[in-house]
Amino acid sequence: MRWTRVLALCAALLCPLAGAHAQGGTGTVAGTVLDEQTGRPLSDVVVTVTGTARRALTDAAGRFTLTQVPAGPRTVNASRPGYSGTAAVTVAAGQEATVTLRLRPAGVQLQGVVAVGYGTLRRRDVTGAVSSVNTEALRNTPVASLDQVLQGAAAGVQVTSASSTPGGGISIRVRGTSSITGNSEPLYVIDGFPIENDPEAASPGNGGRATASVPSNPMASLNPNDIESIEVLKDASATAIYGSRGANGVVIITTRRGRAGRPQVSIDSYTGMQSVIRRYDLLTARELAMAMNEVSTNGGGTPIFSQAQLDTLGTGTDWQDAIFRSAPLRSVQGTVSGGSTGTSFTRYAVSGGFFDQQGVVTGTAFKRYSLRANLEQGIGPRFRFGTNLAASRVNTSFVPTDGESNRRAGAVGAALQAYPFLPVQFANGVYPFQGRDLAAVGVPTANAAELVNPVSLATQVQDDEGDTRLLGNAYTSYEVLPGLTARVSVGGDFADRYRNTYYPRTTRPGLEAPNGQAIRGTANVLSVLNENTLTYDHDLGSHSHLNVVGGFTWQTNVTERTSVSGVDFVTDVNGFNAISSARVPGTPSSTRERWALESFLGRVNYSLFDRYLLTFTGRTDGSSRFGKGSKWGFFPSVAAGWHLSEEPFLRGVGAVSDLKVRASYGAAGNPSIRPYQSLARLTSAGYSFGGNPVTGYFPIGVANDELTWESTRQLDVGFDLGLFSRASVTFDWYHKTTDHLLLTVDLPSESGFARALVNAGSIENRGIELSLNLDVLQRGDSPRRLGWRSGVNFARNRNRVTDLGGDNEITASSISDDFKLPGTVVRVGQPVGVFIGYRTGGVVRDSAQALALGGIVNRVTSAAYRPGDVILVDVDGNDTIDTRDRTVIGDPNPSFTLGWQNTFSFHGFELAGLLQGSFGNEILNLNRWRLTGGDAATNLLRDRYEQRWTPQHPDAKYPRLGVNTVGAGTTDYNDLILEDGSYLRLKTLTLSYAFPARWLQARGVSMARLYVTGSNVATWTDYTGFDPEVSSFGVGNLNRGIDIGAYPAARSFTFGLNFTY
Amino acid sequence: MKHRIKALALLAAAGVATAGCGDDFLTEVPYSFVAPENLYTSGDGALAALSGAYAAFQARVSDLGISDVDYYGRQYWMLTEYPTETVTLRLGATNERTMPDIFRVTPSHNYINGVWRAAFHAVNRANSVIDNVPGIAGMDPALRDRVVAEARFLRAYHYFNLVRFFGGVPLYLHETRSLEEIQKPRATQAEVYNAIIQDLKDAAAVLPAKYTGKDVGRATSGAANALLAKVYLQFGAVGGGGAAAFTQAEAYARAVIASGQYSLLADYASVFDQNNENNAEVIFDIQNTRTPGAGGYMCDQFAPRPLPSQTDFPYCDSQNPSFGPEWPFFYSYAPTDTRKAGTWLMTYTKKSGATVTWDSTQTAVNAYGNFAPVPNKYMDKVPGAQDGAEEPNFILIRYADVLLSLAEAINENAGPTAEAYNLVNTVRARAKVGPLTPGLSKQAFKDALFTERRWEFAMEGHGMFDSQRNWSWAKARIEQYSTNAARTFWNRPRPSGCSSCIPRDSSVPKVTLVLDDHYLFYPIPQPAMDVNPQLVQNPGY
Repeated sequence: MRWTRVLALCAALLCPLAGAHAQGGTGTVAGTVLDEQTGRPLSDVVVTVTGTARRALTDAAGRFTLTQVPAGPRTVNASRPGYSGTAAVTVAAGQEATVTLRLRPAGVQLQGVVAVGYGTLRRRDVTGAVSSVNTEALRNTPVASLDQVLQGAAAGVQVTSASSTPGGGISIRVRGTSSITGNSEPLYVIDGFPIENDPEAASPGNGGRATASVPSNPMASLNPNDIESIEVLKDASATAIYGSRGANGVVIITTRRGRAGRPQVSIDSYTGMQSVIRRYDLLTARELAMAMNEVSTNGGGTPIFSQAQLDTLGTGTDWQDAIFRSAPLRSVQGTVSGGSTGTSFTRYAVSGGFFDQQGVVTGTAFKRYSLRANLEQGIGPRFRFGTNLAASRVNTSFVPTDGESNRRAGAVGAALQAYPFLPVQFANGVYPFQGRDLAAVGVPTANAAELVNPVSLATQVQDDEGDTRLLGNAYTSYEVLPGLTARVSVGGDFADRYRNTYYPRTTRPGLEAPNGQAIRGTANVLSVLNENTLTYDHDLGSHSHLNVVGGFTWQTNVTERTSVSGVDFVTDVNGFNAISSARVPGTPSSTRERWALESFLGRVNYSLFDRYLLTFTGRTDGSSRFGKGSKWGFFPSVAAGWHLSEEPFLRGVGAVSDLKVRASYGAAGNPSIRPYQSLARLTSAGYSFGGNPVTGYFPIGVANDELTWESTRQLDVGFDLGLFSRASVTFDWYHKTTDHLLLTVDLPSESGFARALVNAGSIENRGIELSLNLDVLQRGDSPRRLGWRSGVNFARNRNRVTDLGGDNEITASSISDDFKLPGTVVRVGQPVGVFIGYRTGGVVRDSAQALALGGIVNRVTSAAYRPGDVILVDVDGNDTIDTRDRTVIGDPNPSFTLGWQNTFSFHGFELAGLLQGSFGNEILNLNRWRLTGGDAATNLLRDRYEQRWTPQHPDAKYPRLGVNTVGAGTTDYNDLILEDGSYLRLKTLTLSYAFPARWLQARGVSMARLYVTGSNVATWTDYTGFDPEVSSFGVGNLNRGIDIGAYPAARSFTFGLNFTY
Repeated sequence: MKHRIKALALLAAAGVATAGCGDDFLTEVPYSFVAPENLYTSGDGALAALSGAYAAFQARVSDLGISDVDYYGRQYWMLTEYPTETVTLRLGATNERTMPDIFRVTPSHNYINGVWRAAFHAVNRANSVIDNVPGIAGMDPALRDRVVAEARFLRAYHYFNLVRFFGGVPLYLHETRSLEEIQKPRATQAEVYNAIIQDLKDAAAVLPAKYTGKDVGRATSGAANALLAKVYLQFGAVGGGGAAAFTQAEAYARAVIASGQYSLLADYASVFDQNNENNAEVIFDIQNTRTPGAGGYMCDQFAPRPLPSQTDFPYCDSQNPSFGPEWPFFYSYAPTDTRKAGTWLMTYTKKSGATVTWDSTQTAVNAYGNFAPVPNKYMDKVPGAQDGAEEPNFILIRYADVLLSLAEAINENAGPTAEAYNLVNTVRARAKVGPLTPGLSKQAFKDALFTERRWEFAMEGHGMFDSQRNWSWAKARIEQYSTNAARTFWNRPRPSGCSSCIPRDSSVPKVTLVLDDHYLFYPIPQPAMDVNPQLVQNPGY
């Protein structure tokens, strides 16, 4: 009964404050709010008067009345998520002034209401760094998944694809990476339900799949068309309300809900085609044969191919052609929404969607079926009840496309490497493998890399993932007193995932398994959430406003996994469906994990004279995942804002319509650990007594009762500036320090253990963010005028490891099992995950230069320099090239990122384009390891062949054929395979036409719109791979920015329509 | 107001009911693994933990980087047998296996770290039982005390290995339960010996003299007493235990004999017969069985590579022969000594049918070839043995060891008495060898006794530790007789009249061994030194 007491106490304290409104010369403002585009009235719009605390909500007819507005010229603001508008009005004492507001999408984002977690705030009252993503594109253009909405949309939010395969994994970083071993993905909150997007925790398990398997994207089940608004919480003031899970930033997603009014039926549909943006330019069969001859003669041998053989060779097989295709995508979505008015109102929004995408690599596909019902019911004047329910089913067909080289290559990597000599299939239907089958086409095999057949992987492997997900919550709220609302919600997130894979014997992994390999894995995830909050939102007199939220919430999450596998099947016909027929069954496995979180949270927003803003936020989290002695943590933050524009000395400055400076400081955490990491663990072992087997148990993991969250403290200073009511500027500077990083340390083996996860080490992220929104040309009320809105965001982040708990360096796990290349390095003083290798100083031009270099001992190649060799830079200047000359040669973290959205409108036409870019990051293009290798064990880049060193072409970019570009051995690399990953791209370009409202209304239609969209229309980059937006191992913090057989990004053109009646 | 309170109550009830967060809400309950609190709840759990402690001899913990070969799966045998004049290997002068053979083990040598971490891990397994089992409520007290006593025997055994390999080592006498104070400095040898002795005395007082049925193979009071005798001998000779230790050694050896539980088998080879396990001579052994993960892991180290087909050996599947006799030692057995054929596999029939008999005319030699007789003890001689699932038990203490230990103790206490002679001659007689030369001085008797131990216990993992107790004798023998890897098989005596035999390769230089006293112990492994800065390296390394 604690709650009633607390409530009663709150009521007792707050009751006297109610009704203490200022009296004086006031009048009334009444009016209507309309949609600028459709002319329809808008309900649920918050209407305020600048400089006062007066607020009202519009009804179903879009009408509102504001009483007790101080007399004089006033600005009336109207806002709804994603929309805003203002109007000027003169209020006379004791009289009623009327005004009509037309709302347009909030391009100038200093108005409106934003979701801040456990409530909403007027943007002008926000003291933290909160980016509202422009979700206009969601309704108007084809968007396959959430990441495409976030890409380039908000300053400081960086989106990377781990694989461009349909349904493939994505990785999002808000203000840089602040963990080494932990998950750095932001927390997603969908209609109040927090979802920790850890691809590893969500996956149905690897189950022994080939390393070339692709991580999937657990957020793919969310239908982006259902999204109403997205807010990204970035600074400590904003994220502290999510406590131990806020340190990586929080993405708050609110889905569409019904509005009062007659039923609206919308149909949104599009269809389009995708194709690979760019291909590698590789050698034809004849050219490669000539190159192989040169390799041989350069090594003192005889040509491999005779002139007669050369003459029979043509272009050979183009393996890229063989696996790439033009692929269609389509989507159709229907939505019905509406609602009634009154105290017992009903509001509903129900939608169903179908999205179907084929991938540009044969065999890949993604399908999503989604259903959503958001309902709200008023029960009398004080009670409300509602649900948000979403059901979805995702089917993804993967192909082993990404990762590794040689015989572990995926289809894409193999298509680049494969010699053009072999056909896709022999006449008897057998898929040839490079290495094994070259002799059959008369090509010597001695030097050839063993490879898979790319087409057999793409067409023969079955690798299906399914995700059936139910995400929903039900809530009830009760207005205890005017302004005091209690809310209870209960929700659940249930996901049933599987991944079934079969490698038939027509593929190399299947043949060598032997005779087929089948793997089935499932993961069932059930997360349950309860939230109980009290919100008090009240004017304390006319000059100050108080918004208080307090609450208690808990969440549990249980994940169960099973996996079965087998190899050696009599026939491939059953695929993965009959594992019992495997001659060699694999070891089955099953696991169950649970975590729980229990939290108390609170936030106080106080504004005085609408000028001085103060926010205190705190959350106390108790998490099962932390050690016994560290279960509870407190995450406080404080922020202050000052509306300078409301001060008398700026009121007269007409240019400045709004100016707010903000500062915040606080803490948030990153739980980052899987359950049970802090516990002592036992495992089993067999023994026997007198020949009778027994099972024993023994300790393999030591408890760490102190294991706890990674703790991030962040200072943020910024300002929001509005100019001439048509431009807005938001600027933030931040300094984020993360301590107690989760690191694995070696234990003394005398303890009986080897390693433990501990909290040690620090990382800092510093940066600036700038957003500019500009109504270059305002249309006002006239659709005939040309409108032009423009929005730019810019972010610069500096990431630095400041401490590794006593160590100086940590090396990530090796990049490739084939090459044993060391992973990226975490070194104190450097950004996370830098590339370490040799610097090169060109190619030895001639024997004179070789002689001059004669004094240098090269322990990498163990040979003296010869003309046509790659020169490695002697970094430490000791005339010896050895591992001590390896140095930091690149950084996968961009120096800055950029997004620039432009929208032009004229009559019903609109042209919208998004330019987006990333600058200053390097990519380790491991495809070049083979494609620029000297021994022609695989196909070669045309560039490598044409720009090679020969005595006639001494000033060459690449060494002579026969010399490995990358360096000798397979444990290091040099900067010749490191490339500048900077790019600027026209991400989307949409031309649309909306039919005139009057013309439509006559036909009973509210809105009709047609559009054509191109995505990835143009890219400006020096990167030579398929696409600079790549990170083959991209979902972790280490080994980012590596391209090894990555699935190529696609360019697409779609045609679509939106129709509402 | 009534209405309001009703609504409040409703909300509050909803909040409280759905919350229901008791103390257990944040407690992590492991579902798919076992935590100590789940295991130590019953007698069955206690026995499972104890079985886990026994299984530590087999050292398979991939999660901790401890592999099959780190302890009794290979490294233990190599580290105890190579640095003697009895056993050598087949590889060249730079191979890591050669290093213990030629006394060039450095702190970074992989094998010593293997034994170090496997033995300490085994200690922690025993500590877990010793710390947790006494607290199990409702368990049969007699069983509880026996389980703890068995674990104390095991802990003592592993510490005895550690103190003999490395000298004083850190003493961890409680389970590692947290990361606090996890690094400990080295204790002195005397401290380690005293801890071992305390454990064994406590164990001997509780353990039964004999087990039957499904308990055969557990530590007995006889095992504890026999180990006490061996521990006191080592303590007296190497660990600074002095004369008092030899008196104790004598007493405990006599207690084993007086128990009447053990006897010498008539046939030496039958002691090691895998169809005659847990026989009357066995006092304590590692119970291997043909269950994957619960058996031995030595076959591929023992099996020869018959030429020309390397897979023609009838028993073990993989052939990676690693142990051969040093030739001077091999030829030192008396002609009638049954221990030569009992220790070394002298003849076998290949799968293809031909019989291979080791004699000095055999010429099939290559770098990985059939270079010498291979060990006969502990080789699984039933075809189909898999790595980690080999049947033969590894005998750690047997009755002949107690007899010779008593003789050694008597000689230390009172010189070569008739009883001491009688003990040695009993062992010799079983091996079909005549009595020892009478009238030896105390030191000469001691040397003869240790030479006897070489013949009796070759390939049983005692070699290095015996050398420690009679170091000057051992040094002289090793410097004189031990050849080294690269020359071992090349330098074998070329039988007269064998024109096809491979001549000795004089281009391979012989390494002259000069044994410095620091070779008495191995160095502390470098990986351990790196992680625990409190460890101090042994002198000379």
